[in-house]
Amino acid sequence: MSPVPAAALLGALAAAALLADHSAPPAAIALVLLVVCLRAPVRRRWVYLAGALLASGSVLVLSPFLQSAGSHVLWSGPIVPVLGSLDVTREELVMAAMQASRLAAVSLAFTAYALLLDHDRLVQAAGFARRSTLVVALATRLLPTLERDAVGMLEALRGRGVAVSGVRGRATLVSPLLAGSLERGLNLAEAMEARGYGRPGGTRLPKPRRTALDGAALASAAVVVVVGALWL
Amino acid sequence: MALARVDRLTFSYPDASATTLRDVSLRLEPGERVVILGGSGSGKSTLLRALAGLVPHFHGGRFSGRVEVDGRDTRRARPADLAGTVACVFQDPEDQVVMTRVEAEVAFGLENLGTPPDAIAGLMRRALASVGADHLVERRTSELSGGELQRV
Repeated sequence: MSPVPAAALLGALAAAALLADHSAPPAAIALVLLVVCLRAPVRRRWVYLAGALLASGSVLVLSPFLQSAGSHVLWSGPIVPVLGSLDVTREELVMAAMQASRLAAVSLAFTAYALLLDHDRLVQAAGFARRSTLVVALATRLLPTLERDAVGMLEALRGRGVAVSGVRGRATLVSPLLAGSLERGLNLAEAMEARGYGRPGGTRLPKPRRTALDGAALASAAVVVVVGALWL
Repeated sequence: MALARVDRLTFSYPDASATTLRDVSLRLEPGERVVILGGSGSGKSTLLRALAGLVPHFHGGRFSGRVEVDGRDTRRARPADLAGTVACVFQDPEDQVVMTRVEAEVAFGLENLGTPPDAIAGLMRRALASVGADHLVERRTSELSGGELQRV
């Protein structure tokens, strides 16, 4: 399948998960997307999957304590200043499950986009918004680049006898990684200018032909959004 | 006519206290291979950036003297206009990579130069073959070694 219909389908699944009124459809969408994401190489997928599952798991666990809704109390906790009573109700659990599955579906759709789609062909296929698509593709590439930089930095630190462990140890890498990525962005902009980017009269590689599968995927994307808005 | 001419070039980066290039003059003839040697921080990369027009257009700073490439004054011609005449391989080639696949990466420069669409694929393969990198055409740029990236 070409990347444009694939991106449209992923976007439609994420939109349907956000539009659904019950927790089961977003959970089913998240499950389907998880299976799709498992096609990516283990070495590349684990950071994305860990991030998506950790974020949605946190929403599932924390949000019942942070909101106050419903009357079917399942557990009564202490009263905490600012937050109020830490009761957990059935309604809060249902809402937490829905928010968590929505977040999981959206993050897994992004994971599939980042790991499985050919961003070059996406840029190539962008007719009217080539610059914006290029910016999105470059930003998507930033994640694996940051991951590689972090591994390199850890190796350099270990080589100098500094052991980096735990969340606090790894948090110290954030600042140099951010500074490095800003510099990388500047270098890339310089290289793009040196390679003639932005010069008038640019051309493009011919677009690959659209197949029947691409058409079916685009139609399915539209159907998924409508179904998500009206029936889920 | 010289391919490139640097005449009494003096340059300082913005907010820099020291002058990076002072009164540099140079003449490059077609077919010549020139090696520029110097210690770290002596301005080798800055001189190459001046020949590509990146200094002063991209970096700003104080620029005096004159740099001409292919008869064009680099203060008037922007780096994008000089692309096709000047090509740079920076110290870390990974910072130059725009696309995720080698095929699209090589095509990126050709597209910017306005190469006719039907000619891009052929030229791209010929360019890769000329540096012995035609076997890399289907590879992802993130999977290439430093040496392979430099060739791409």
